[in-house]
Amino acid sequence: MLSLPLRVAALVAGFFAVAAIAGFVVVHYFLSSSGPAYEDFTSHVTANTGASVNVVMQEAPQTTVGTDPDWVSYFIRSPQTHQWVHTTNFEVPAGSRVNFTIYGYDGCTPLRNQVWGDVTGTIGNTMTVNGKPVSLLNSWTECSVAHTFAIPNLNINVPVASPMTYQENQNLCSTSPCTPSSPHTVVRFSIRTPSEPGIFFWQCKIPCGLGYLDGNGGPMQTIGFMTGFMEVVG
Amino acid sequence: MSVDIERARAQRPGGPPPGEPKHARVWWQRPSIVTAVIGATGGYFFGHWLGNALGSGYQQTATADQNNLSIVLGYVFLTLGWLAGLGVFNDILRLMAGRSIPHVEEEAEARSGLARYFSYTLDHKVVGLQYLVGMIIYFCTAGLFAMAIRTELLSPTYHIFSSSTYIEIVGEHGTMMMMLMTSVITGPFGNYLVPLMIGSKQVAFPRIEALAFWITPAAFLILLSSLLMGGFPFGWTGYAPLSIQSTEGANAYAFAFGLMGISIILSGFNLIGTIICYRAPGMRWGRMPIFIWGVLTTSFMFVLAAPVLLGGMYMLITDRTVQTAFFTDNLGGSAYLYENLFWFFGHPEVYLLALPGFGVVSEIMPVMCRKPLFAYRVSAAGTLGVAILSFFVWQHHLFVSGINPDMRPLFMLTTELISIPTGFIFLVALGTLWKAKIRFTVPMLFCFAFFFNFLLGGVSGVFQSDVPADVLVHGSFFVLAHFHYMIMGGLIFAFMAACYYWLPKMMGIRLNETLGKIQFWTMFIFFNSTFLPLFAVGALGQPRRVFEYAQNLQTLNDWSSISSFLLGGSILLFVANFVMSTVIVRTRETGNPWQSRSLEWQLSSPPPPENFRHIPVVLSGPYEYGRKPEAPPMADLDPPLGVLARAYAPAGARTEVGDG
Amino acid sequence: MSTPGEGAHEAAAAREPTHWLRLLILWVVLSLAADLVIWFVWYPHLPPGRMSDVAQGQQFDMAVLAICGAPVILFIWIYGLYAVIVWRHRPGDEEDGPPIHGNNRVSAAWIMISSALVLFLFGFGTYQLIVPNGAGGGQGASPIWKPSTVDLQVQAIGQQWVWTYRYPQFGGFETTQLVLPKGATIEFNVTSLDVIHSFWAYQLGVKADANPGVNNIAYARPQQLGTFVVRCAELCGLWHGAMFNYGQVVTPAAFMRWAKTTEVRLASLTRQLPPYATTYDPTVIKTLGPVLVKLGLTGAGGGFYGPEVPVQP
Repeated sequence: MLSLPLRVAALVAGFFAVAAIAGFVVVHYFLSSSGPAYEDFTSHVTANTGASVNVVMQEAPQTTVGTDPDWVSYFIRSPQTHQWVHTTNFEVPAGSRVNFTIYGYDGCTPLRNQVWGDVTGTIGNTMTVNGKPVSLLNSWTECSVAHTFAIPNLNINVPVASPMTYQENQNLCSTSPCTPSSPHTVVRFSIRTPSEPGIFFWQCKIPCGLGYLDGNGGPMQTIGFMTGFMEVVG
Repeated sequence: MSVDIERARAQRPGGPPPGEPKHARVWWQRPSIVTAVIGATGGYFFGHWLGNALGSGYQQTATADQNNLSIVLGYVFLTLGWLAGLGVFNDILRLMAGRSIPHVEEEAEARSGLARYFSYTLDHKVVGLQYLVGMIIYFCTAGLFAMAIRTELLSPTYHIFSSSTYIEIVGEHGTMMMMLMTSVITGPFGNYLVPLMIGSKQVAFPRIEALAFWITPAAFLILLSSLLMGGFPFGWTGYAPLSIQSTEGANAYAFAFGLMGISIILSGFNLIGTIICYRAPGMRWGRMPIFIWGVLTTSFMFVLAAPVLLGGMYMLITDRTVQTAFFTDNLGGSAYLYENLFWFFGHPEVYLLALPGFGVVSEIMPVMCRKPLFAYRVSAAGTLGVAILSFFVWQHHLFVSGINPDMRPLFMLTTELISIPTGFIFLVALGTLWKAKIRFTVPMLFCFAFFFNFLLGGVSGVFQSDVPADVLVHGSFFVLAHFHYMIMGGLIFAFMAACYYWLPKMMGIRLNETLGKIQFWTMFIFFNSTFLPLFAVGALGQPRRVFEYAQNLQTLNDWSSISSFLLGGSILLFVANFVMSTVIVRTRETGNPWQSRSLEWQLSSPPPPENFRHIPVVLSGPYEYGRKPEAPPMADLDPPLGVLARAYAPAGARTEVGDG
Repeated sequence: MSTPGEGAHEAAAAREPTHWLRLLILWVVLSLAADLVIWFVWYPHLPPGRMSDVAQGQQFDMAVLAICGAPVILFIWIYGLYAVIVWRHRPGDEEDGPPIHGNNRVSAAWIMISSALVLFLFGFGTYQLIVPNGAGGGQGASPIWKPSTVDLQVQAIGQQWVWTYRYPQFGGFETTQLVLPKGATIEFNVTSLDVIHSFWAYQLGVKADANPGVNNIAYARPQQLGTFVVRCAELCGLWHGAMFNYGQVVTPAAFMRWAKTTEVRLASLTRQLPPYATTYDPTVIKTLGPVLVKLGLTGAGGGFYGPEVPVQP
């Protein structure tokens, strides 16, 4: 057996090695994976004053930024740089009006439950599609819903319309983020954020996880693609 | 008077021809950890390539941007490469080729002390110590995940981890514990002590035993590798169809769990064979230490329950990779099929976590109370009863899942019946304490704590067996508190008791007693402080595996979380005590510090390589305390010439000199 | 307690027979006290409360189980504590304890008492399961303990990650709101559209797993007005922890008002939904429009199996 000082030294070295590995794993994999960045829409706005902020998003059929090109994804336009960012997390002020504009670049898929074709929780329980007010889209008889934007715990559900013609559906955007030269729809709606701060998850209700059972895997369950957080900041 | 006879090598078929010279092979020709890692890496890349070649044509692969088949085949060949690199298959292949097996034992012994413990070795004592260190590492890793869970649950609204990271952590903690702690006592202490306790020189299947151990690091690392692929979001139960829907990390779950299932089946075979066939003459069933009964019944459960797990995991893998539809409802399968397959294994699984604990504490208590084990037959009947009944209760996990409602009173009955044999263990403990002279050594303290915890866990189990009460608490933190009391409060406390009790025997050193007492009290107090509030948390409506919960439950959750950090600290104390006592302050303890009458304590500490110089003759049971005059030792280690030969010879045969 | 040395032997002989008596007295007194505290102090506040008949039944069960469990726990605790105090090893005493290998009467008594307790609990549990029509637990598609009349049918549909509710008696409209009338016997039909969820209406004491393609029926009768929470109690994916909503128990008149106005308000949506059924297969959409068929979309299967697989509709 080695002498005592050598054993102590080996033990101390081993301890630091283990602690370093554990620390690295914790910091690198866990703490830093709080998810994609939060786009901040709260600067220049005070909470609970009824002010308005504008959030612009798009959903793209192919996520060519990244390793999963066949996954669909949402993008958010940064309010500061006006560039598209591959994230689904954003912050909005409490007690305010949030005006959403969503560019729908993806084609249609039937909903698993057509109840999600009904617009609920927005101001007026309605949205506009390319300027025209719509409150109910039938994803089964028409090719009309590409994805949804739903915040279940605030009872908000908005089906995002898809390009309506057969022609358009054959020429969908194939890189991401998409530009207005590709076929798209423009969906606009507004919500009022609650007066208390909180963090609410939002999700898509279309089974857009192609290749996964029920269509609800993959991008549907990965933050940064078809689901994310809306943080209401006080 | 005995005759010095050269050690027989009867257990090695096709043994070496006499006079064959020994030769030392080059390092890279000798199987070792290095070759194992090389084999594993090569195997993974080969399997991955094979999976891509076979499965990239599936439409599912193209649209999902993942190829589960390549990952699973990668794991298959990784495991095969790992085992081949360790030299597991060498002897089998040599025999199949008609060649003889070289002097592996001398080779293994010729390695320096520490290197032996990193090799594939046929000595059950080395395997036992490998298991011990491995189990401590697995337990502490899974425990770190538990710390992370409690950190996240400090606040219902502020989330330290992203939700997907949190659910990965939950799955890793649960699966790692449930998968690996099956062998936390049978692995180290079963493998090490069973031959010593029954008077055998070795186990029945040393190669299988070593193989069972070396599967565990592979299973552990494969499970951890799941994190590199995004983890799995379905907890340790892996309910389909969610597990089919998940991304790549789920393959690691299914494969690692199945691999560990293979390990426990193998371990079970070996222990059953050893206990039934390798008992020394005079070691009747009625004289066997109660720990052996615990290991025997556990091993039977390993062998009978784990194959169902393997089947279920295999079907899960095929559903995920080659698009079978066992568990997919709208394609003709059934989600219920998975639930039943899983829980048919899953319920015996939790009893095989509990039974070795029973064995350990029932073994330690007579020694520390200086009294025979009370009602030995009742104790053995209790372990057998628990083992048998455990196969008849699994539907109690499914009371509200829409099973045939007729079944529910039946399974309520069987579940409540199983508390009767469990109660026998308590009867035996209480009877052993009656008028005893209790010595409060650290192992005894852990035994008391075992019964305290197991009582609370058991009574809460009876709560859940009542179907109306189960409607309230199923899927909530109440269930979680119940099984943590049983598994951590029971099994792990028994593991600690076993460590403190048997480490002098296994390593010839003793753990620091003062530090041990501090570690015990902190662990006991903080364990109860962590999990007792969780009964209330669950009954007040918090489901399991959630990252958000009702605001009014935050105080209870915070109390539990802070206690859990302190509990983690006490486990760290144990590890520190263990490492310090084995590496730095090696206080020699070579005698019989607990004055136990059991057979393993009649040997030196640690025992000689062949355990017994001669097969002993067992003269009495191990619990003959209190007799006046004092009972003779349990076995005669130096039996007179011819006793064994006469015992084994058929009637009328000519007896020979020999060890039998 | 002990005075070692002179007279210890006589004192020990005189003391020995009363261990069991002491233990018995201690146990009886403490158990009685504990059971009385449980029944009179704790029982009215036990979860889940009395908002519905099945919840009240569960509360009663918890109380009875606690009353049965407390003496068991106290017995072991008292005995253990007694052993620790009285039967500890005195320093200097190197003798073993008495060689008691067993006591058949004690073992037999233990077995009989534990069996009796267990059988009582089994009988009690079965009675409590049958009488409240399944005690709020899901009984599958063919329940055997049914109430004589069902006033309201509500279907709870679990999907990743929100509950929706359909009211077949009001045209089958589907909403995320759960409103129930007080005093009505309610039949919950729980099913899922994708993975396994579990419908747990905590204050109502209802818990039924939502399995895809399977109907799971549970009964309850709300008896108090108020709000209750519905949580998912089976891990169903990423957002399982956030899958909850609140429900209301209102007066029957308020309920009818709500149901009728909602039926009218959602009429156009209801026309688009499939007719009310106890289970749904979301991959079979009878009204799939020609455009979608032309585009090769085969329903909501998500393309898990390619369209060339004949089973895929």
